[in-house]
Amino acid sequence: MNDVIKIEGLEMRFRGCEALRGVDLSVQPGTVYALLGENGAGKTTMIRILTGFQKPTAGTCRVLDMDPSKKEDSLKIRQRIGYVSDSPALYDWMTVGEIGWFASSFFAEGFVDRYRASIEKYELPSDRKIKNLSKGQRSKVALSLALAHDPELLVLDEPTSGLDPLVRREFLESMITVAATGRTVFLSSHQIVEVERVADQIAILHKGRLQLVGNLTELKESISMVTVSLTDPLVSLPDPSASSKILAEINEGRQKQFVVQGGGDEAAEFWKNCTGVASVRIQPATLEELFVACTRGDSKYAHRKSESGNAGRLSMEAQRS
Amino acid sequence: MFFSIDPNNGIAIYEQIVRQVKFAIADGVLVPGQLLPSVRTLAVSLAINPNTIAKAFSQLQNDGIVETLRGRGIAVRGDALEACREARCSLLEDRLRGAIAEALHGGLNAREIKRIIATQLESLDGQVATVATPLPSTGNSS
Amino acid sequence: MSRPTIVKALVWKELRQIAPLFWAVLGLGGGLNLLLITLFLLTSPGGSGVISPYSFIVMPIIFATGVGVLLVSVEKENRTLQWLQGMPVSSAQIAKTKFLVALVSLAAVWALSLLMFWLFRVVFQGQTGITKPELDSLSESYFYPILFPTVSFFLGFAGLALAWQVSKPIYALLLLIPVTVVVWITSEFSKVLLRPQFGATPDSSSVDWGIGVASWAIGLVGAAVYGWLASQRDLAARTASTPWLSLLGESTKSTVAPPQWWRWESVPQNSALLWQSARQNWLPWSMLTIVFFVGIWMCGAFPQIGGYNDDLSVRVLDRDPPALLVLFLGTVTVCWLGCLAFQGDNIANRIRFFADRGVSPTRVWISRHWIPILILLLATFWRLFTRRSFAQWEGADPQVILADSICFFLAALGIYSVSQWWSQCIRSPLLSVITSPLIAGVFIAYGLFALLMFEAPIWLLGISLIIGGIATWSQMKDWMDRSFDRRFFGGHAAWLLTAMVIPLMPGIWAMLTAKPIDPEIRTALERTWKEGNISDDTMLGFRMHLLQRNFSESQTVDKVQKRFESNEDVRAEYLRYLQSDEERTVLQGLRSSDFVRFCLAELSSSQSVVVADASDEHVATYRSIANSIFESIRLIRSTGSLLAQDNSEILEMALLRECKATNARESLGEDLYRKIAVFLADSDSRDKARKLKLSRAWKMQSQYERSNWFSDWGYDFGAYTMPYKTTNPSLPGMLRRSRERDALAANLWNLLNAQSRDESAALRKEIDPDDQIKQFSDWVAGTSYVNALDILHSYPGSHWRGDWESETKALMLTLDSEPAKSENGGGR
Repeated sequence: MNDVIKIEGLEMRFRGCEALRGVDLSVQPGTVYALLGENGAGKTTMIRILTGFQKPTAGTCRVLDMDPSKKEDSLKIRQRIGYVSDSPALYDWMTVGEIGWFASSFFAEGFVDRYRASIEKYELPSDRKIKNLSKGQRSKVALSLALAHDPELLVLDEPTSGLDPLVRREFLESMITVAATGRTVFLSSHQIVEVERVADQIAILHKGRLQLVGNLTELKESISMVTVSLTDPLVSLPDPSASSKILAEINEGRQKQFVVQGGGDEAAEFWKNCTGVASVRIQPATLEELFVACTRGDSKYAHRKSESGNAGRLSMEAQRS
Repeated sequence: MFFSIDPNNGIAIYEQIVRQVKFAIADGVLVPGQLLPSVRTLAVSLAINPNTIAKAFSQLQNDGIVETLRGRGIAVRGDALEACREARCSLLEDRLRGAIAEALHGGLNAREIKRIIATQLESLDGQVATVATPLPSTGNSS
Repeated sequence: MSRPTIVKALVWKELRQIAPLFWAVLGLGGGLNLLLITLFLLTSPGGSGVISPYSFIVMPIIFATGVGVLLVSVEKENRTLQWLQGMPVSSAQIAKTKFLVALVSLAAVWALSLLMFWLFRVVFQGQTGITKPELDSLSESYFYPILFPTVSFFLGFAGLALAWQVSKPIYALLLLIPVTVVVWITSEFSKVLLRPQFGATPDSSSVDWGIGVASWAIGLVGAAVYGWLASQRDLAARTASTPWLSLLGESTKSTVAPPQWWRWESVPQNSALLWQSARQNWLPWSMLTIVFFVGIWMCGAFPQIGGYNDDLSVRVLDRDPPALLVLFLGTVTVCWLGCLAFQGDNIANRIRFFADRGVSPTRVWISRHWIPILILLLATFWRLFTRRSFAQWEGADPQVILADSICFFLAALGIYSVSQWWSQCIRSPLLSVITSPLIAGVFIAYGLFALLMFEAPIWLLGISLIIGGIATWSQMKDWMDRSFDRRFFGGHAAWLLTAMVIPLMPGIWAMLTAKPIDPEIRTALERTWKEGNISDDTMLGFRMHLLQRNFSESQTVDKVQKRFESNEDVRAEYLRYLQSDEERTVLQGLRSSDFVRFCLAELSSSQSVVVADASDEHVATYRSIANSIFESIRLIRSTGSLLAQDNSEILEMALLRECKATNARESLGEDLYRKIAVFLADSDSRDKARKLKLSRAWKMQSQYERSNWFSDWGYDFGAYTMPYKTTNPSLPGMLRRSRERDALAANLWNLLNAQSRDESAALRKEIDPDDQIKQFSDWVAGTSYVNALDILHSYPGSHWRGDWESETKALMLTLDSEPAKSENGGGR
């Protein structure tokens, strides 16, 4: 099976800042792929490249086996994917029904029926102008529009930001329905709790680089938090064996906390036997703790060495991600 | 039946589902022969990735708790009750073990622990509602 | 709804986006034109050629400036263009649809404007076609129908191109001005360059026009092509480098170390507000100021654009195209300054920042206004400076220049006030910017309306404009809270009503307090007229029977006299007519005053003949003339107009004079003498006739006035031509004129009913304050008839209740005191 999305060595430089510094990514069909990252990490930039709005400065990007930056391909891509940007800009003066009618012209038959079914399911009044809808209702309209042509790939850029829990729940259910029918969902978010429920694969993006990529369940199973209590704050601990990888370290007085990937038990055992160690506790890491560990700027154990020196002020473009 | 999934408690989501199904069978909430909801329905209603649900179901199948009925779905096996009870038993045993280990770690000795257990058992026995006996159709408490 | 095609869906969307501008322009333009035309028709009656196409052409021009911005910039700002790009539709399709819709909608606006123009002509002037003189003038400059549409389409495409190129709508609009000016200058320049090439041909104006049209057409094509390229570039995937023009409006942060803002000193609130508005608005303010100042300089440097005519009327009133263009641009610039007050720098969305922090509305109001007003003040000084420094103005009176500058400032302030008011009421910044020139036009038209129709004093109009400022200040709080509810608009409506009504107050007051005619007199006049029974001739049947008899209607007094004196045959013929009962009516072909002069002349000459030689023949002639005159008087009494009546009374006075002469009884003969005396003494029937003619004059005039109330120089009162004292074309003026007429009739009526000499003298003074009429008793007793021929009757009833009437009574007494000798009858 071909990858739905395949990204290799993607780089994006804006004036005065690098939004993406070489990203490799591949998304299998039928999965829910979540891209995590803090504000300004480069998520929106990557999605803009995926959807053909931005041309990357280097690297390749293939969506559904086509190149989105090429004009001919991008039209075909847009026929087969559904895209919901963060705070989608719809025509305020149109009513809910009108915008569905309008959008249906771009797609094949069947759009209107599916759209109408979706609107009814969400109980949206079809004769109300979009500017008079609440934020949650507006997002539902955007989602309905993105799904009504039955796309193979659904791309969502922070879809539930600013929405109330009920609406969020409905969004998740829609995402899962899409995934359950064998289609692919690519979503960028920093709502960790949601991602934990729905994602198959996750990737954590930090300062333009991927810190962590993999299957969510496997990752969670393989990562643990090891808390070591020392007798003396100045004791330094040796690194554990190569099979365990330390992703982050936090120091506080006489305690050190490590986020360890792979072989957490071995590492805990190893440290128990070190001098100056009073006790060691191990517990599985939540995704949030994992995320924080990966996206802290001072992580020296990161997947790739982060660039030293000028953190730089991000340009307006990149900051919108 | 209702599931309560907490992605943050350290237990894998699919494992939580497996355990809750087993407990439900042990409690009599799910009776042998009863159909479980489909993967898709359950995924949507819980807002959980369907692959996770599928994994949970396949685990349950491997453990011999459920079976696939052609054309109808996944149903609880007739002989699942015993297995589930055993599973619950072993789970509770693990929990007690953990509590005892913690007590030992905290500095209590074996005699003190036994005393505590005895007192607690004495005060609670007969006060806590129990699971119904394995007769179908009677309602469950707890 | 079934699934539409892409083209249909896109076109529908574009049309829906254009719709507000479409209807606003047509509605406001139509309303403005209606107001202007009503104004002109009311103030210059029967005005032909009043409805010019220029005021209708302004609609497509304004629509053209706004169409590009509305189609593209709005979508860019709302980011709906991005959403659209996410749809599987090619950028070529999107851009093509926008171009097409712009083209078609502009054509539609043209069509509807011309239709409106034609409709207005039909309704207000009753002309369905083009008259021949208009066709001739049109064919002289037949490029006009080609030039204006070309310019408008250029504006449309240029606006579209700029909207694609530039990210913010306001900059797209502002850049349109220099772009248009550049094309205009290029076309003028090329005209100058190419004219010598074609110098040989006599038809150089055609060449000029051809070059003009060609330049705009080239500009049009260039704009379209550039717009297409810009659109494709804008809609394509972004690359890392952004073109420099799209930086307008997007601030890019540099990698320079950020300013240490916590070290800045704290400033008071006013300064902070000013800093904010200046930082955000500096670009449009600067651009508008530059355009404005350049325009003022041009007016100073080229008096043919912005100067005065010899009679100090501003050149623009001649509807000179360059002057009109400069005026239009100036108005637009000031309008946009006004719009920036409440719409600029996206303040409308950000104003809650201040509201939430408890900044007082008054403070915000002041901070929005004082920089634009400062700009207007500076512009005024600049105007003053340019006028005084250019050589062409050296001869001009410095007071005139100062007055001009003051008027300029007040006019600019007025337009500013109106547009800032409008901009607070309209939520969409684009719509307010595009339609504000039209609104300013509407208010100017209304101001003219108030000035001309209601005699509004200018300072009251000034108060109305101040109300514009007060209105926005009073609604500041609601505006800052963004609550555009009924109270907000209701408040504005109330202020608007106040501003509109206040200038009309003096006029309305004048109309309400104009004293109507005394109702008693009115009923008396009506009754008299109804009871009377005279023929419908307004003049005493002055048909020209005698045209072929060497006399025309326009003979003057002395010419008549001279004619009589020089042409004995004609004179004899007239005399024969006068003396014959049947043929007397022929003489009525003369004007009544000429008839009177003729009679006086004959009477006088025959009397002098009798005095010289009292032969039977001469006496008989004399008596016959006197008798004929008597019969004429009777005839005139029973028919005719007030003028005829008064003229007949001159004849009565002549007869009175004859009767009072020595040997009157012998000359006239007893019977005739008696007959005349009795008749003359019968003041009742004289008065009755006067009253009848008076009531008739009044009634005829008021009936005529109902359908012809626009004349402003004079009116007809019983064949008299009375000038109006008040000549204002306004509504109060009309009412005053009607009252003047009624007052005249009332005074005359009262004169007839006056009890005492003093009363009648007072009334006569009121009718004729200049006292042009001599007292007739002198004339009766004294000099010769020749003097009577010089009398001009300016006012009716100028000799009513004169001394001569009492003398007629005295005549009666002589009649009674005479013994039986009178029974001898006439003749010797």
